[in-house]
Amino acid sequence: MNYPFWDVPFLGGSSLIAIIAILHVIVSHLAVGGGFYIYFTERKVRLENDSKFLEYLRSHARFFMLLTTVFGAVSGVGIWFVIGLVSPAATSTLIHIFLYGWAVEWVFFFVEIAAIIIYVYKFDALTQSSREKIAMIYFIAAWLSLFIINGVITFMLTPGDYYKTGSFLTAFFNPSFWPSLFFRSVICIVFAGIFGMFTATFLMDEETRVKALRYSSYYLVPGIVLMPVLAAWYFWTIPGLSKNIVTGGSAVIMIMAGVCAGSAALLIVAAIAHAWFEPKRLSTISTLLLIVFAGTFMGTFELVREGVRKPYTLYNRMYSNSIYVDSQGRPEINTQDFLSNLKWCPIKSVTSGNKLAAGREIFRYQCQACHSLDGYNAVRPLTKSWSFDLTKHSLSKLNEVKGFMPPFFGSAAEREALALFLYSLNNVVREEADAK
Amino acid sequence: MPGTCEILTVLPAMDSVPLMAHPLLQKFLLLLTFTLHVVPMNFLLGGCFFAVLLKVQKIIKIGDHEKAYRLYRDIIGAMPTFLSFTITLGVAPLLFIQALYGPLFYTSTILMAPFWLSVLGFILVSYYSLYLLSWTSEKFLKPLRLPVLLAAAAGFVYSAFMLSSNNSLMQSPGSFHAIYEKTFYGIFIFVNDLDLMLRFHHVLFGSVFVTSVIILIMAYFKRCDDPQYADYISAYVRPFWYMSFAAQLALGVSMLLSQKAEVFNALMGNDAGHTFLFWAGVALACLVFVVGFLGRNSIQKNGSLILSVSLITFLSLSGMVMTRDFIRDSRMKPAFSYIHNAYEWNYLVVGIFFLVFAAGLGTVYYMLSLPEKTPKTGKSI
Repeated sequence: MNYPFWDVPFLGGSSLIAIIAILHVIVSHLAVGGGFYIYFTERKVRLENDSKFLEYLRSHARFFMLLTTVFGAVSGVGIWFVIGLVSPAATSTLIHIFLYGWAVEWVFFFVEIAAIIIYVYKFDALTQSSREKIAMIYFIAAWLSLFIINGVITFMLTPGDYYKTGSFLTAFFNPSFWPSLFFRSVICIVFAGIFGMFTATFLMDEETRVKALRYSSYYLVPGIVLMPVLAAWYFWTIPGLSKNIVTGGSAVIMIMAGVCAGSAALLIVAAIAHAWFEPKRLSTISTLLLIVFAGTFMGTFELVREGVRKPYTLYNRMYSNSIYVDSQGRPEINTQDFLSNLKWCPIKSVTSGNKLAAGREIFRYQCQACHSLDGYNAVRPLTKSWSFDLTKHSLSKLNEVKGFMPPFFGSAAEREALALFLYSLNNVVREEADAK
Repeated sequence: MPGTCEILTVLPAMDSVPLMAHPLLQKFLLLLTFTLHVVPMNFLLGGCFFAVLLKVQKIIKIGDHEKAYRLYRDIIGAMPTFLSFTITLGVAPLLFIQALYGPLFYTSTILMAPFWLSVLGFILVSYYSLYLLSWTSEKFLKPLRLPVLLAAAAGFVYSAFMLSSNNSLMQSPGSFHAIYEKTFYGIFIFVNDLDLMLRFHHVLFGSVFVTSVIILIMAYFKRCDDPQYADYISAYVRPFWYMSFAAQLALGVSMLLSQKAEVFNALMGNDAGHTFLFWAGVALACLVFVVGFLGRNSIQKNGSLILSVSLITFLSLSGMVMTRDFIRDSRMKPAFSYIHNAYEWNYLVVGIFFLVFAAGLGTVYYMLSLPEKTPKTGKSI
């Protein structure tokens, strides 16, 4: 309860993070896989001495640079900006734990950007072997960048023994580090193939277009075998509660997981089948549709990954509403008097005359990280049929009824104030009156 | 203005997780990477200024508008790359500032959240606009090219202002609580600060000064292919260079005089280290001007002169960055000091960073030195 709360109307802060993050991860995975694609395409051009394919590679690399260095880089900074606004405490903790890991990642990012700029701007001037070396350097730097970020992301869900040892390496090489790294690496390669198919559709020469489409579709093949296996391995490493959430504990998350798997399967099968059986009919629109499938897969994957981390932002350390817990799972705040913990709240205690206002403030600091009033994950429709007593009762059993929700923190009077506020969303309430 | 005790009650506490190195190391890296970030950032702002002037000159056909157009294309052609490096080099100071000043930084950004976040949208649009102008022929969308350039320039100026505004707000923790109480959804821009206004104008004029030096470097590299064009560039840039220097001097004096007594006295002799840094920065800026002025007719042809001017400009810029940092810390001091961040050395990870940093620089150098075809053939982008 250290920081002020940024109220994002309708959308809520968490969905704002989701929008920016999903768009970024699509491009950032392409940025990694694209390096792999460019390197091997360079080799292919050299071995086959195919000048038309070289032209294709040239235009693909330009598109690739425009997408990754502009949108990818700006949206990457966007994630920094938005997580700092919505979850400053969690961001601060992650920065303190991984500061020099992130600094190392910045160096890889710098090399990656320099490599793609040199590659594209000096494409015609460089010798073929120089280009091949730069493409390899780009790919290595981009993959190492993923290597570092993967450590931070997986730590949030599976911190392992970090909170006991305090060791950077324990935090970084946490239980889900390797399955996530391999899983994401395969996604990168699949995405490289999809975007390769997209740029191939712009080729005027039919023979080269068909060749480029079929060639790009090879990059989807590892996905068929490896993605299900790696996803299963990843699933095996996540905490028990997370497994419950994805297997039925939360209907929404379970549906998203299904959409995620379905869109991945559809994407790979449709792309490969189209490229092999009807390459001439594969238009730019069709490949855009494949990109939509890819976006759906990636978006739902990230939403599921975020969803199964609930009720925490940092597993076993910080709840979604930024309340820290100690190594015994006890909140590091005064739970008998929640309002007194709030540095930025003008109301410090519940009185008979401020129940609604106090309830509003408790809602802001305990619930609004995940719920809005009327927009994303809205509480007004959710509590529409609830009586005042049911609302109060639900608040006292939040984490027991729904394991993915944090418990309510505060005194009986504060719980009643929050219940009154929630009840007032769908009912006319006067201070003191209808609560009785 | 609340007193110190009141300020402390509404400031977020520092993170309890210790940093991996003494805060001074993070401070050093913050200043180093910020100085590196400032160089391309200056070219973006100053480059937009020159590009607009040159484009208008081409449209209304005054002076040697053909050469003006050529210079416009050279500047616009370089800008997307400079923007890439502005963003890339800006990530590191963003990281270190969060590590050192988190409680103030996060709070100030939350207080002006939509404007802070909107910077990304403006940069994105400006970025693609620059590529559009740089990668397409002048015939493409001809009537819209100047408006697109102006929009890109406005985007950069807006972003520079918001970043400066947030930086100033961060230095005013005493106002945090009142702002939070009075505003909704983070709809707030911090403008009521003389230091911010002076500093922002200092940034704008400084960008013209630094860009002038970068354009002179471009002229130097053109001297063999086309000496007349190199002479033109040098003659074109010089008046702006001189004027921006004069404006910088006036703004610098105003900024110095507007500082509170404690900071003013520190820079005027009470603190030997910061007095030296500040006055060295000023002296080096003057030296750049004098050297440039005396060598004005040959600067674009003289390698040693151009190298000296570039190096001295960079050193002057570094001195100014360190002075700004000192002023920032002084303004925060009653409520906050970065040095109080907890730390516990992790030599392994810090060592790995420095090794990777050195390897990264080496790799970029290696890529730049890879062999090119001889003779050069093919199209250029």
